Amino acid sequence: MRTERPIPQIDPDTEGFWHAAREGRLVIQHCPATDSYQHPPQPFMPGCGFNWEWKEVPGTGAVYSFTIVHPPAHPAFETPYAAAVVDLDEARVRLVGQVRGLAPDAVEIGMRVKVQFDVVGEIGIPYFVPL
Amino acid sequence: MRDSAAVIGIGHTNFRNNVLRTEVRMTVEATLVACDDAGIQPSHIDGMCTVSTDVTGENNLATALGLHSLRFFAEVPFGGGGTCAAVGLAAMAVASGRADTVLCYRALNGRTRQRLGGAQLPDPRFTKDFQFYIPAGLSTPAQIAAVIARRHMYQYGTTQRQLAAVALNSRGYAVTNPAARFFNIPLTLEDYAQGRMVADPLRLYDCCVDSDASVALLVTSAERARDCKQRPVYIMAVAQGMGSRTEMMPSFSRADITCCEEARECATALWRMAGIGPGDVDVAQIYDHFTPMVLIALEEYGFVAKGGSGPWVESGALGRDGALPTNTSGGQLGEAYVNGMNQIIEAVRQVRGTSVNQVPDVEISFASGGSGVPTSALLFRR
Repeated sequence: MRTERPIPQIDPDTEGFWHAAREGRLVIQHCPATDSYQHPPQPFMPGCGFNWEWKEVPGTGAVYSFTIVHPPAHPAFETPYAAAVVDLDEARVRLVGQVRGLAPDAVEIGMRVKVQFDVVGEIGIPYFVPL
Repeated sequence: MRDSAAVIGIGHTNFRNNVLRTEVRMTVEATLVACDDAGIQPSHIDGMCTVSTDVTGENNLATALGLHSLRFFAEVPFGGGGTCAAVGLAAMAVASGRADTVLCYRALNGRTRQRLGGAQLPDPRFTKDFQFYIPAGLSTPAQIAAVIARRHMYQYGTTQRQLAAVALNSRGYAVTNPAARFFNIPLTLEDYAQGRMVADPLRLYDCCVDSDASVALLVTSAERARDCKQRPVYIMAVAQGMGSRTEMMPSFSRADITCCEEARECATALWRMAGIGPGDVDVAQIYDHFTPMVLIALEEYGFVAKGGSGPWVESGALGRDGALPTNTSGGQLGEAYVNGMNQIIEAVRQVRGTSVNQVPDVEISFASGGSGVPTSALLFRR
């Protein structure tokens, strides 16, 4: 039995992201005034101030960089695994997640991927699979 | 502030200790060595500076040293990014008359208590950023440095052998430094390649050596420094830098994660304050928590063009006969990981002419704090 998976320490600026992920939706902080996105979310956006919104975006993108993690790692995760920073297509922000569905050493920069979610209690945690 | 303050004393504990001692215990020991080195009594200390991640406690330290009246105490945020800035705060305190003699210190039970290399979760204060990384299994500084390294390799063709060259350089200096953890323990390219993979592409010897140690140095005015036991080492310039969308190492939302913007900002301010450029530096101590961060710092501080650090280091530029002898005490890969405070006192020794790996005729000595977090850097001069 592996240790319980680490869950994010959510705050009021970020809970919308995690709760949408629980429903399988990827939402990114969006400024309607300038049509710009920001991630990780902050309480304030230049352009719209506090009047930003969560906007659902397609979860496709390309691997920007990654590492293959070996021990020491958090005991909840079976090593080795690939953890990647992904350039999201539409929002043009970067999202971090594991890449699954292929051997870790088959992951490459530029590889096209699509987001999926693990449901953990009240939240969803994003990961990626090859597109 | 330029040249108005000087380092007059340096000290450190054993870097090879394996028994847990409190941070206060270690810092008292390092401070007494620094006072003896300077030829002053601890009672002369009227100010203290460290980084905010240090757990020694200024009051505990003052009590243990028997100090009755401290007039100045301050901490710089961001751990290894802040140690050079702590020396800068001391210099400002002295220059402004807030204090006469300021103790700068950093104690870390990195081996027995708080391992940088462990998979522990970061300080809860950092979870604003890390809440997006920890659930994906990215939590240790090594894992984050690996992501940055991979992108640098992709963009510039940097190779594993070039990362190895950074490690071999530090370990080469450590071999002849009796104080270093890896004194007399050479590292070959074969040894490096056999080091276990930690976070691909980082192997074991790409990572600094967690240590239980404390390092101390004493700052006073340039005027008072002239009457002390040692040749004064003048604080020529100190700068800090923070870039865009800064996090505690990942800063993955920047346009280009291979640019440590904090180091670039810091470099601009440092060279402007000093009125010199990177080509004027005789010897450098570059914060080496992980090998790729040394390559990037060399680029951002302007010692080599962006993307060119790998071949430059592989050619031996950081070695004893190289263009820029670097991490001459073995750095944090070879001597000890003490948030770079040990590298700062090596920068002092190089100006004094007393390093075990002394570079000839040093006029100007450079030290940088950890890049990847909001950082700082300094220049000492003779």
